Amino acid sequence: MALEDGARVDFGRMRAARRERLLAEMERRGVDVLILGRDANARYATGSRRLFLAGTRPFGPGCIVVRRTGQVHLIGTWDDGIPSEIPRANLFGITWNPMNYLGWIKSIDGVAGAARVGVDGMSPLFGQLLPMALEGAEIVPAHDLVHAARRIKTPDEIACIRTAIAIAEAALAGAIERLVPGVRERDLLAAFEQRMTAYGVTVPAVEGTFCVTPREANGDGAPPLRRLTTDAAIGEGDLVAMEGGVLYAGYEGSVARTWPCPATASIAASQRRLHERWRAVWESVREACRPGATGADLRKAYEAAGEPLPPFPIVRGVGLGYEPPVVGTALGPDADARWVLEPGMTLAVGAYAWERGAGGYLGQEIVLVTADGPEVLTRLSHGPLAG
Amino acid sequence: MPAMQASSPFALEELDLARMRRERHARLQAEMASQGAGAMLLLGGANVSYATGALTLAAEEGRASHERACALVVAGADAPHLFTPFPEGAPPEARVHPPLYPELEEGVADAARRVLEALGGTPAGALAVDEYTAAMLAGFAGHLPGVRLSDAGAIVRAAKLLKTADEIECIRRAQRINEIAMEEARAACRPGARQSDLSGIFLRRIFEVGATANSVDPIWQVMPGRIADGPYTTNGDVAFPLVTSDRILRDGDVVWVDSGVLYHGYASDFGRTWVVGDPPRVSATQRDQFRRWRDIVRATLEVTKPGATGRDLTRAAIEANGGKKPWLAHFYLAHGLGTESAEMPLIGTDLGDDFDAAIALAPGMVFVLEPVVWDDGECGYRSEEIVAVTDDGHRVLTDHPYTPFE
Repeated sequence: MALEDGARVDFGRMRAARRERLLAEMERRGVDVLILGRDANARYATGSRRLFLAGTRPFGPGCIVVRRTGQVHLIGTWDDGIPSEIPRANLFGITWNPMNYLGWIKSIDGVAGAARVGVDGMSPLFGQLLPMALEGAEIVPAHDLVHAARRIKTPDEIACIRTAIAIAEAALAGAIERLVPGVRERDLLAAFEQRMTAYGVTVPAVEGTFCVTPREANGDGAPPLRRLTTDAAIGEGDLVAMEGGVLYAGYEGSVARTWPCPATASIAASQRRLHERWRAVWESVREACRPGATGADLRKAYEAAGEPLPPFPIVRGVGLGYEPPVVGTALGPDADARWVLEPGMTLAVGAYAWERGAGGYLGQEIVLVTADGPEVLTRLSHGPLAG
Repeated sequence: MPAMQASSPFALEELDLARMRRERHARLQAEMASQGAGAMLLLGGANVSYATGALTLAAEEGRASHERACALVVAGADAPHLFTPFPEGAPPEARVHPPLYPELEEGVADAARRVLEALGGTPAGALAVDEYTAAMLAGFAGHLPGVRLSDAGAIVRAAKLLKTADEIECIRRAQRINEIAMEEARAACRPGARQSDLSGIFLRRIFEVGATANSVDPIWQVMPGRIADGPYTTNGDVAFPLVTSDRILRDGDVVWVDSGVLYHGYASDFGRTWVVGDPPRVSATQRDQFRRWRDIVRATLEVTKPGATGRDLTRAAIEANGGKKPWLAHFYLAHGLGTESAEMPLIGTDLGDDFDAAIALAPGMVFVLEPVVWDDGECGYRSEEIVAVTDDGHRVLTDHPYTPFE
């Protein structure tokens, strides 16, 4: 990425295409103004690169999109990380007084007279204040609107996702190099994050899972899997589930693999079977990732392979981080059925196979839905358990 | 991740996590009672962490929102309900339930149903909520007929303002982990290193030493000599903090460092100024800036004790700086630190002197002093010190040298 022709992405073109998609959805749904608090939504609308904070944040009006003018406006005290097509006049400096934000919103051309204003979240405080700035406009939830724009990726976005996956795979390889008996789970997380930075990326999509898979059931019937990395030392013969992710230009690349400790450990037939079972589920779901399929079809494909659902969604969107669709939760197949796959969607497909006494196999691949069917973007080998 | 063992690389003071959770729960109960809440549903990660002590997977906002833990605190109950995708991170006393999905339409209806189920019906008093996803805006209230909704923000803010001894020890441990990782990063801060190399060393080391999570992308900002040579700013002041990249550090660069990690939900806040060199060379002007920064901190700490107001602190800092505000116009002289990296009290913001004067320091308050000395044309000096207000004064929790300025 240090070379000027290395990125293979036209970022200006990507930002313009995203803004166009967003404005088109506003038009289609009759929304005049968007007030966005979520960082990924603001990034989608503006392309601005802002300080990464892990975790959820209280809602605040970070970014305003006006349909009539096509302009995006941002909270930001400086223009570093702000694309050049956004004029300085569209920046509003950080303030600690919420009333100042109201004054700013009211002053934006196109806000006065707006009939419908979409928001991607709300705090009780802004729930009281925003109506004062919006003079009788109807405030409507806009998460579906923004995700309708976000869910179909442009070729530039897909190139970013491919780069992010390549970095995540390389970082996971860095963790795998440390996998010997006696190493602590947290040392693998440490190795993943340092290797990630060797590629110029300093932000993980998730502080990954580096956990020995349990050999005993936990009583609730679901296949047992820990996802919070601990201080525990990894022993010879343990199967270690590893999931890590990075953000490149805001786009997520993530990958999960399971390796024995150490890589040269002799592998029991029962452990090898875990990967075979995992592969059967993965292939079943992958083949279902086609235009027109619903989330319920994906759930059916998982279950058709004979595996119980794991303690995480089996399919979810990948883009500027984790996004809908989210499939395979306890909300059930009816909730899954609302999601319909279209060409240009990028999905993370995860599966888990577990057996008492043997441990588990966790794997996650990223799939691009195309008109011709699924294209698998993940390349990393499945290691010793795959034989 | 579990508490540190005897092999800790720094001195551990007494910490009882179960007692910490108990005392926080009691504070929330007292605030709920005084504000008339029958129950409180919390979605914000920092609030859930405070109310339950639950550990979750640190992640970007989208993932953290979809895979979130939620807390339900019921007036009079002895422990909170916890809805979580990470049951292994639940403390033993919590009443653990499978996760809620308030990002999804179907998840909102499901959440309302399961909250009522956990409450055993409509709560006596309001159901206080800290925030709403867009999906909740569409339907949450409709799924809770007869339930009065109120704002949980004021309840949580009031409970969090004064820290218990265990909370202060968590902050101190977070800070020590952060500081130990910074020792190794500073040694690598030489000509030719990239900002991202320093991030790599830092991130590796915090996890090796025992951080539960990293909370902010570490900042290694190369400062311009003059404001005009840096990015445009809306207020004409110094632009800080700028986001880290793979920028190559060069001999003589002045680097403002800022980072924060979490230990059992509590944030550290590390701020220092470094100079790139092998070894780094500090000019007489830079040394003088550091001396002035230290004088401002000393003067501010002299008035830091119970009963003083935020205005007393800003006045002391301004006076020590020859009548000029020694902090960035878009920030503050000091900000609170707890389960959020910036929380109440905020001192020296654009909310003004009256706001600061209404802040009365009390034992258990923890805040970060972050004065800035800037000489346009000669760059500037910035560092941060974490301070806990004690019964008879204060205790500085930061324990890190000012290399290469000392």
